[in-house]
Amino acid sequence: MDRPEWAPPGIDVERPSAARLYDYFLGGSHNFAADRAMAQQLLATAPDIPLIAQANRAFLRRAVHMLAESGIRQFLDIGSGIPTLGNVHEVAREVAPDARVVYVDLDPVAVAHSSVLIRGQEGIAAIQGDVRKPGDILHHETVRELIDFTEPVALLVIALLQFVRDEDDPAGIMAQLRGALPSGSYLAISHGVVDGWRHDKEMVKSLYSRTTTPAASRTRAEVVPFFGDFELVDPGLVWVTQWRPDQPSNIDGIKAAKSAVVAGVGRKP
Amino acid sequence: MIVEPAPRGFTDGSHITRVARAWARAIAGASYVPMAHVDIELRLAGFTTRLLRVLTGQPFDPSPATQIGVELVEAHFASPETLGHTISVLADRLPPLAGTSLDSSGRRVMRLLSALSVGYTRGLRERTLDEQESIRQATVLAQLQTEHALRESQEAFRHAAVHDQLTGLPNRIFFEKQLADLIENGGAHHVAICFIGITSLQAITDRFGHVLGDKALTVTADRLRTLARSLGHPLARFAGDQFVMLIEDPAGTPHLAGVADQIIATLSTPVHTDRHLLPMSASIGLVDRPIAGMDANDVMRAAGMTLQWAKAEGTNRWQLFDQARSDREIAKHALTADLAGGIDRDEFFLEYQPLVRLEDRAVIGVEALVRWHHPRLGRLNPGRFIDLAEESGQIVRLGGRLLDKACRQAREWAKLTDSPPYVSVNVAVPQLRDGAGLLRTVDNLLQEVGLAPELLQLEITESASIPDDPQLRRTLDDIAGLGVRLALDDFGSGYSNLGYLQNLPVNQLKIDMQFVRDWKPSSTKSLLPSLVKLAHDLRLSALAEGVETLQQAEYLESIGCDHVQGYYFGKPQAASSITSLLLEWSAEEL
Ligand SMILES: C[S@@+](CC[C@H](N)C(=O)[O-])C[C@H]1O[C@@H](n2cnc3c(N)ncnc32)[C@H](O)[C@@H]1O
Repeated sequence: MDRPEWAPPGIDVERPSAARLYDYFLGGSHNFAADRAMAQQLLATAPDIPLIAQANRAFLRRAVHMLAESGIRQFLDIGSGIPTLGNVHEVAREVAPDARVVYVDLDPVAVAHSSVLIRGQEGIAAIQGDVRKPGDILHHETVRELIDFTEPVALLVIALLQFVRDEDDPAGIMAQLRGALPSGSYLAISHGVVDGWRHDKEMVKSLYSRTTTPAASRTRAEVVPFFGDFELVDPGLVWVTQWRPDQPSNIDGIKAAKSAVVAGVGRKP
Repeated sequence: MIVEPAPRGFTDGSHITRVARAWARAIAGASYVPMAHVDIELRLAGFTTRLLRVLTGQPFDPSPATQIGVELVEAHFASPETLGHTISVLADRLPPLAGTSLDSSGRRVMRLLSALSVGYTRGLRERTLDEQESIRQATVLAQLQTEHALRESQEAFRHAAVHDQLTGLPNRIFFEKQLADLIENGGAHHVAICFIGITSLQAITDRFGHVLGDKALTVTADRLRTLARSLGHPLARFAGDQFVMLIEDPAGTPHLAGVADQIIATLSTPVHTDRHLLPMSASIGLVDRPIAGMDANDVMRAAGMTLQWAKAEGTNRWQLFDQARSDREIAKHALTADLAGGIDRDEFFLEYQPLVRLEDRAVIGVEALVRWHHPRLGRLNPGRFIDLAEESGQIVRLGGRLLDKACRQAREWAKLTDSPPYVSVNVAVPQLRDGAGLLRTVDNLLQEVGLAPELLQLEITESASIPDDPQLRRTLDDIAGLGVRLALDDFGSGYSNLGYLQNLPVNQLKIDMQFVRDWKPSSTKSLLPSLVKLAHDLRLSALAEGVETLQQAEYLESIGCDHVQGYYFGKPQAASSITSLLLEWSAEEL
């Protein structure tokens, strides 16, 4: 059947989804047979993926913690995924109980899951949205309700942009998102890159092309411009484990080089 | 994080911490734990302390270790590898901490770790089941939401597809469906279409821009909607500035007229905006038809045509469809469509009517008159098609063809006699407007055919536009410059600025036939003498058209008219008849 263009994406549990794969790599069971089968294939090519996912998730936690400590009270988390552990609102509210969070994801199951999880909690919402239509997100009723765009906002774009291909104009998308934020806002990005990738890139890419969100391959240098004129806070755009690690360098530190994800936080001047 | 105090007497905190650190290192990377590293160590230190207490408890009861296993999973230390690494670290490290060796406390440690494993596995299993359940529920929920959203967007799409965005009224597609349903399902016997054009809208948009144009349109739409609701008739926005109201079983023409008057009254109230008062006007076409055998397309076409009639009448008018008028227009339309092909197929030909000098009744010229041999309708006179040719722009091509034919014929006659007639050909204003083109055509023709220019005369209709249009004047001058004669046709029938006649390079005034027709021998008032005198004063020859009787001819002669044309002296006829006539004449002269 032809799906009209304006219809929300359908739910096809037979088709692996990036959100559920990611959950699987983090050790979660919020996934289906199709996801696990695909995960096994990915692991066969790149056995480090679970470590990479963990490192990425840990960065998210550290970044949100730091942002809350810097006084940020509103978070827009795009590509938030299936809430597994250490969700943005949990981390932020440890520091600031009044923090407000809007989760946005393309995957309807991820959104449904999030909304169940946050049900009844004020100041937190989950909406379905596509980062490739930033205007729709920025003007979404719920976003407008919870986020005051005259006050600093933390925009979280964590492990998302590798699912936005160049033809979808990620630079333009990011420019529009940055443009909507007032001065003093922050942008946290982590991005899977191919620079340090020791596994079969093409294989991974082709596996992801079978998901609902095919992957793009970029280098660290190609990630830098996504920050625009935002000033990167220390230590800049680095391997995800090197971003303000909360432990003396150990196993994770050693894994840094092969983590294949760069991360950084920028502040709007 | 709370670190439970170490069981007194066994060991100090630093030992516990060391075990916890080793434990943390062993399980790092085996699962994701949403905690800072220090917190992980603290948490593990807590578990270590508790395990130590269980291990050294008197009497020994391993069951609390089960709970610790559950708690490990709850704290998200949750993966098969975590359990494996945990068991090896604890098996190694717990006995020394308890001050015993693995050997001596072997059984206890084993029972402790097995209790822990049971708890851990149970926790993991519960967690997995919970997560599976939650994702399944999320999927069901998402499915419902998606279906709902899909239904809503389909609904919205369907609505958008049949409604006009600006006014929110049903659109043309919707309306056509409604009409089709009505025709199909019967119910009503008659249906009237009230086709409304907001005639003021274009001017508003042109003057004030689209924003105000749209504003005027929405206000108009609202007014119409209110009226339509009160009358109980469906309304749609048909296109641009057109609306259509459907009236089922109207109670006769007076009723329809009443509705139309009401609409016009409603719509002709000016629209107020912040800064402007926009005058509004509307026209309406009404068609009332029986439903039986109705063709929706045909009704709408009729309604559109009727609206055009109403517009042509002036502002704020309505018109009722008139079948005879429609037939005429359709026929006209068809004829226009046939014109181009007819020219291609050379269906047009000329007849010639003698122009006679009164003095000696000599044929000094002929007027070429076009006829159309229409494949279906037979022979048509110019009255049927010249206007259509002008409107459709075909006149230039047709005129060119006719000029060609006329010149060649004139040349034939020139070969035949010593005093050949000139051929007078009508040219239409569009041909004159194509000034350079006309000049070129005439010049080339004269050369090509080898015709003396004075044997060609062009007749132009007395037209209001000629004097004011310097371009046309120039064209006339240029043509006269070639030596070609010019005549002013139908003189006296239209608007004439006599002043301009002085400077016009014409040779002849053709006095409109109405003056001859109106003249009676008993008449005391006739303009004919004055018109003849006027021609002569301007040093032009005077030709009277439409002469049908001897009496008329004699009268014209008596007032000094130079030339005549009319049935009395010869009807329009085939070139061959003119040839015979000329041959007779020259024979007489000899
Ligand atoms: C790897 S997960 C990252 C989850 C979370 N941000 C984190 O880092 O822990 C990527 C998520 O991006 C979502 N995603 C992919 N393409 C997207 C798009 N065009 N718009 C919004 N979300 C998208 C996927 O559904 C998935 O949940």
